[in-house]
Amino acid sequence: MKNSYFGDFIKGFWKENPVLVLLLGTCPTLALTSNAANGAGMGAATTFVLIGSNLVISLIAGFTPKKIRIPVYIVVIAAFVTVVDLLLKAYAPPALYDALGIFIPLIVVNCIVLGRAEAFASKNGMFRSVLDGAGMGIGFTIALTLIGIVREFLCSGSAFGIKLIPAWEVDFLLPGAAPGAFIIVGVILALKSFFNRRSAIKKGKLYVPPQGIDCRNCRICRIDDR
Amino acid sequence: MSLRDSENTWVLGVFLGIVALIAALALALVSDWTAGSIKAAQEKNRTAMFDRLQLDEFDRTGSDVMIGKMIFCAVYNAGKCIGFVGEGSAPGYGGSIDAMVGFDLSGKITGVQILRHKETPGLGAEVCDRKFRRTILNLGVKAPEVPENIYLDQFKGQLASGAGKWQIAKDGGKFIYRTGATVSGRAVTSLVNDIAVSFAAHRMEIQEQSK
Repeated sequence: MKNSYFGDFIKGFWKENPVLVLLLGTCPTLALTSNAANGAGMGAATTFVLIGSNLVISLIAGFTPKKIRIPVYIVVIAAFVTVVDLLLKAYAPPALYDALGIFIPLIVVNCIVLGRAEAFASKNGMFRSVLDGAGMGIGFTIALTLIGIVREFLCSGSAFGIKLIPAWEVDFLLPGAAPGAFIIVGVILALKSFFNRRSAIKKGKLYVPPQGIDCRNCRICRIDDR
Repeated sequence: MSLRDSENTWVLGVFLGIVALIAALALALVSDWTAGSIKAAQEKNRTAMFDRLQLDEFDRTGSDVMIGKMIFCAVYNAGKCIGFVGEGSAPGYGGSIDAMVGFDLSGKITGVQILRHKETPGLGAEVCDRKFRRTILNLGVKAPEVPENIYLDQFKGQLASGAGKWQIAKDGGKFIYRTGATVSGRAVTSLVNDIAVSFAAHRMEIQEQSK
């Protein structure tokens, strides 16, 4: 499983989910999950950027000078983000663009995208990098949509704009606002690690965070010791 | 020494320059390719907004006339002017609120539509958004073209000539507002008031210039 293509694709969904496990891209996670539709839209836009940037970066990583690789990656990512912005402007429903508009440029500085470029695409082939980008993007979308559904439901009893409890008249504002986002994301993370730990203990194992995804394996901050 | 390990500033600079150039070229292509669609989408957006002002049937809009910071235009059907539209913006609670107001020939407001706003979801946004309340009980029902909004609909039928002192009830006026969203309600009311005042004062000018 460790080196299979399927494993590359599927690992982002849950085992190395960028939001829930890697804890990357927290800014869009908190800012854009006030309802489920926004979360899903942001996830889809980021997925497109991830696939595109991973593809191009895996192709150019072989001959990119090490000293300037980060600026080069950022140029590639920024180009893809601008493409997404233009495409959304041209073809997305106006309501979606109004909601996501100011956050689209922020995908450039989303650490998931640069993180995957540096940690995966620059060291692996084109095909595996595209799979990794798609998997991570889908994992990001899953997490954002999940948090969005929870927040929207707690806020107004609805999901994707459809009221599930018709009698729920007055919005409860906390989950929809920024402080609520922190609380809910925190609760979801705590629950996830609680269940992971419990199942590990049940199987008689010691719970350790997934291998290969923490600071020790990322070299973004330490450009020179590569 | 390979390119990958190069430390020569010139090589690095030229490499980065080439990457930026390729990216710029690619963006120019995409921008060129989507320019038509973006323009069409914006145009469609604007017409959709005009349609939602509940003016009489019209087939074209006149050219824009700037009065102060507001934009006005006349609306025509078969060559005859059937109404006017005014657009303006005012600072709300979370940023500027852009609104569009439709007037018929007698100077009555036919509808108010908020184009853009950044008000608090659940509070100020309730004042600005026209959203159909979709619940699991009415999934199959078609949403009305102009969903109602009691805060915006209260301006409907008001005469523009009566504007000037439109205020929310808290400030001693006659318009209702949402508790907890006083600033948004105040902003929308004074914006509609200003557009109506400006329209009433410059109506002749607008009619003559907006062909």
